Amino acid sequence: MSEVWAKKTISELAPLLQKREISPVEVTMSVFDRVQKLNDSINAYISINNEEKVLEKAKKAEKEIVVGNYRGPLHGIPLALKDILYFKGETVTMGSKIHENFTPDFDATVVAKLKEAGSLFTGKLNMHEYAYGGTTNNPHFGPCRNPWNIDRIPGGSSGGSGAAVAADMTIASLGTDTAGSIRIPASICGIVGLKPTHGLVSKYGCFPLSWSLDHIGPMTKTVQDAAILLQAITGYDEKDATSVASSPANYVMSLTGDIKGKVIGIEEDFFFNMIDHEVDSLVKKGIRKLEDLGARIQLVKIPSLKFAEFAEYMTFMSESALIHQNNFNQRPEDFGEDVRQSLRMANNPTAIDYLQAQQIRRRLAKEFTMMFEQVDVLIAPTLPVIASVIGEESVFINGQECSQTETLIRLTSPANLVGIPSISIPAGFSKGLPVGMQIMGPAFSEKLIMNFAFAFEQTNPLKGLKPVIGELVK
Amino acid sequence: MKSAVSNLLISMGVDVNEEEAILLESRWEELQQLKKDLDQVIPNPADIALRNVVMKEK
Repeated sequence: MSEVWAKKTISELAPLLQKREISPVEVTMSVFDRVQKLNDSINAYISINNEEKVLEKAKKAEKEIVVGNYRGPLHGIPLALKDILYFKGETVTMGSKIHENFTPDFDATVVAKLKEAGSLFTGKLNMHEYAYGGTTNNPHFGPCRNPWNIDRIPGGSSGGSGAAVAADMTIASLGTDTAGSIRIPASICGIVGLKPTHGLVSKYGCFPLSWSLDHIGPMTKTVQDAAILLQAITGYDEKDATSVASSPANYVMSLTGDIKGKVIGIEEDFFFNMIDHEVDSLVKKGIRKLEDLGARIQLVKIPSLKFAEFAEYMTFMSESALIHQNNFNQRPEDFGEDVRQSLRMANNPTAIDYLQAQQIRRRLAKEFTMMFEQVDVLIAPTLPVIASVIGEESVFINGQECSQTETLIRLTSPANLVGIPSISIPAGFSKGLPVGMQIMGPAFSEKLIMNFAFAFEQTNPLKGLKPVIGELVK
Repeated sequence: MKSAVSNLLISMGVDVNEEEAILLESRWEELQQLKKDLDQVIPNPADIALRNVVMKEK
């Protein structure tokens, strides 16, 4: 079976499926072939669904399309999602030993929406245990590997989603993001990752890491695919206390690529401080391309960003300590070493630490609001560095040793603290590894930031390159 | 002497050896350093912005 369909995007496959030029069965078989060939090397999947059963559903989708009941662009498209989203009656592990046999009795809202849209599911994807880290070096299911260099991390916590999309082991995926866990693997694996506005996408049926910072969003090969997936999963959900009522939006139609007259904010003190020289240079080159397309640049200041790291740590440590309290007290040995150590630390913040963190968030939100009165979007590197070698705890930025965890989340976590949307898009390569550029906007400005990303995507920043398949097969 | 961090964990029934205690204490100190100067810039308790008022739904 040809792997050609696995390499396509949703927007390429959907019209072919609708016109019955190809069948969902062919596309699904193509993805399974790719998974069988590559998963031993990449380890992107924690579990692969029974192929026969999925193909039966693909045949059913085909019949529906043939008789004219085409549901839309996700009908008959095989997807694989991060193993933290609940599927009724199926094992969902959260990448953990503690939940290795957990079987929810309901679908996550996003899963239910994708099923309704006609998507098929080939399996569940690797992740950092409980989404509590940025490497996806999972002690229970093995490390997930970067398709661009299998000795390197794919980022995390949605590392399986990043690796699977980059290696064409799924057509597209969903990830979750508490401090950057969609955008970090998107940047490192050379794909598109969108963290939407807090509350735009329901988190019901997603195991929490830190409820005030958690988000679910698309991880895709193109911006257009991110728009298609986002359109399918948004909407108010009374079952999620953080869900926000929003008007239905056509994200795909808003991708015109026209950014003439728009203003790009550049904040240098935080977002361009301590950045690898090559990463810095690539992102600034990307911004210049957007200038060439008619946008203009304005320098901005966000003074409270110097406290962002403290606010992020105190918030997610405190909230996650509560979420894992029972298991941490009763069976600490069943957590992986790094998560166990993080949970030990997570018990230390005082009530004052947590409340100060919320004060900082409030102040940051005010400063971001004022900043977005002057500019349309804020652009920055997604990460200060490229992918590090699996197992390394430190990274080097221009020769200076830094903590890997802090480095990975430093530039992405502010968007979580203030709940604004942020999209990471490939900006080029450094030392043969992808570099991401992050575009942020005011709350509910997904159309705007995706249009910026779409405009930039048309400049072909990755020059059409893909991971080399021959080097991935063991 | 055990650090405050270790004492807290021990009070919760979590075993912490000497090596781990040093690591935890050092990491906690780093985290606390991240908020130096905070007192000078955040004087307003209302910034916490909690609302616990019973509202009639519209």
